[in-house]
Amino acid sequence: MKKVLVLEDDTVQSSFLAIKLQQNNFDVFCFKTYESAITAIKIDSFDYYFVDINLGEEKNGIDFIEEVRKKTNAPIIITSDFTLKAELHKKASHLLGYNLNESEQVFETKNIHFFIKPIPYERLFTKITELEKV
Amino acid sequence: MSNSYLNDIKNFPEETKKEFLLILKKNLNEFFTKIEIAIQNQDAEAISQLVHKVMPTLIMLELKTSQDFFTNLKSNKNNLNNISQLLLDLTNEKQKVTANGWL
Repeated sequence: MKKVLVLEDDTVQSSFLAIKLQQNNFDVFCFKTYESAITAIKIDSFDYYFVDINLGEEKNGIDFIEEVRKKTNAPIIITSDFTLKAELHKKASHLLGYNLNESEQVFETKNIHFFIKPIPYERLFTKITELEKV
Repeated sequence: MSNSYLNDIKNFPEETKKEFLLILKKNLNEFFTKIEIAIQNQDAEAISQLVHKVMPTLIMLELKTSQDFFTNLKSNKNNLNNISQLLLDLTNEKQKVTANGWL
């Protein structure tokens, strides 16, 4: 069973995501804070990382992605509010070294995939099926 | 696979659905409490953050008017003179949620 880490501070979104993933035979581990998720990746590894950007605290999802990438190139699924998209690109370019003008396609080459919340689950599972074939 | 979040929720196993609806109820009640305080304080930044957080959940629940409300709220976040009407709209949304049996 594939292991999934979910970093999401909104319990409705994380619960719904966890249920949908569990229904598709994933083993799901949810974390509400940057610190708890960091602790988890220090002692364990996961097959997929679902990351919200705005965690309502000083550290955000991009900070977490930066730490994940030090350990693994596993698929990262960013789930965020569309209004944060420009901000997301700015933070990503600063912290991860991506160009500010890079498109979502460029993010995909880094095995980072972007979904606006609420997650379109049919498209998500199509993407996961594609990733499983790689 | 269903394209409707509501259908997904309705088709969850009974125990899963019960647990999820409890989480939903707690989350929405917290939101209504916090946004009423933020509106009373005319705290535009807090309102904006709360709105961003709750929007995906309201879309999942198919509260279409909520999207109009929040679009309006966002465009007026630096000019909160009509906040009474906005709060009234929000209260109506809360009643609609209750009438739909989600709370």
